[in-house]
Amino acid sequence: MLVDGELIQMGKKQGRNYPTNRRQVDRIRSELGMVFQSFNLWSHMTILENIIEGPVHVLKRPKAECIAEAEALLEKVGIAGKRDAYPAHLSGGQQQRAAIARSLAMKPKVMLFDEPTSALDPELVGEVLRVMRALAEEGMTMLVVTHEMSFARNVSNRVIFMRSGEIDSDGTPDELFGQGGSANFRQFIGNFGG
Amino acid sequence: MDFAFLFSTMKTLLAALPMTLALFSLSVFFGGLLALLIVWMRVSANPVARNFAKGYIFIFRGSPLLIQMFLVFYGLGQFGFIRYSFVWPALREPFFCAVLSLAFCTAGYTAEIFRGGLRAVPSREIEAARSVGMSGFLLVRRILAPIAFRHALPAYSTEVVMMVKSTALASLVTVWEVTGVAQRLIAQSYRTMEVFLCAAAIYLVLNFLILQAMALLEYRLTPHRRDAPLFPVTPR
Repeated sequence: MLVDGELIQMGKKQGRNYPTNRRQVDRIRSELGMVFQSFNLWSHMTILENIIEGPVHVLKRPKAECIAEAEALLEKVGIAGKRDAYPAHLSGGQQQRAAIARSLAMKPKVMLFDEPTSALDPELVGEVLRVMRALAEEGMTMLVVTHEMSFARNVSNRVIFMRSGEIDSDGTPDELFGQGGSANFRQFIGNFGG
Repeated sequence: MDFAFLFSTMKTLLAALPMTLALFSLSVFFGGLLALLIVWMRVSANPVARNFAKGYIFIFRGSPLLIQMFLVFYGLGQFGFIRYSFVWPALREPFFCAVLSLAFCTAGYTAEIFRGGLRAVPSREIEAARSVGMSGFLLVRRILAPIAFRHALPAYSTEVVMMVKSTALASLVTVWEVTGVAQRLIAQSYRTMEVFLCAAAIYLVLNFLILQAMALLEYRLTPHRRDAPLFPVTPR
């Protein structure tokens, strides 16, 4: 498997494919940002501790430097006041923004978002999407799985519509939301609102 | 009430308290270390290690501690290869045998308590740790162990208190700790009630202090489970 010009050795274990070099996988993961559907913040750490955990313990960077960067990131996602709060004390939207800050603290080359707003109240979706839109405008490469159709249409530069695990339609948002989408896609945005 | 007798009894019993504390602290310390090894084997993917740990836990949880202690103290000396080996100078000491059997026994219980804690770690938080590139010992040290320990703490504090009380069994292999000394005093004075009440009071106070310390530790480690502060947290 080829990722970022780098070959990942795969081996078979009990009929499934596994990468053979764990260290390589860990290193590649530390260069990818991941934002989860249910935030997955570490519940026993404060928001600040969550953010500096990776930089300090995986990237082995000096703590003071990481704290300064973390504070800037908290400012950027708009929850600077929640620095010393615990995840359980935050709303869903605030938790997800903290999770985005945690992911950004690793200075990822690419960020992956796994339905980042589908566990949120409609009211809280906006604040997360605003942060993601700001990241996109800065030029961050992002791969987003989402049901937020207007977000996909306005922010992305390529849209892939998946159906039963297969690619159904693939194109720029203008193509897909214009005339290019398949009948399935048309029906889908008919249900969800384009 | 014969206060003079109670006072002198208390004084004699308290002189044996350091022995009880030594039995307790050494066995909890070494039992805890052994429990980490056992639980590591118990949750490992290697079937030999896993089944060894299962067997260990079954034997040491399933049989009476007193019999384990007798087997170590009276039983091992039967074998010539042990009596003539380098471990004999240690194994013929009652104190060493008592600590050994207490530690072996608590390791079985503690391993299961720690395993329960590990199982309570949400897979989402492990997934998040892997996503930032953690694995192996770093993942255990930074995420798994801290979360698991917090979950295990209430059950573990019970086990620690049980260990304080289990040190009383050491009197039966001739270690002069609080209960042993109490029995000697009774043999001399025939005043069972007074002497055992004094001994029980010592254990009660000791356990009270230990439980308070454990509760404080739990409180300190779990600010995230308490209600959010009423006023917003301000930076620094």
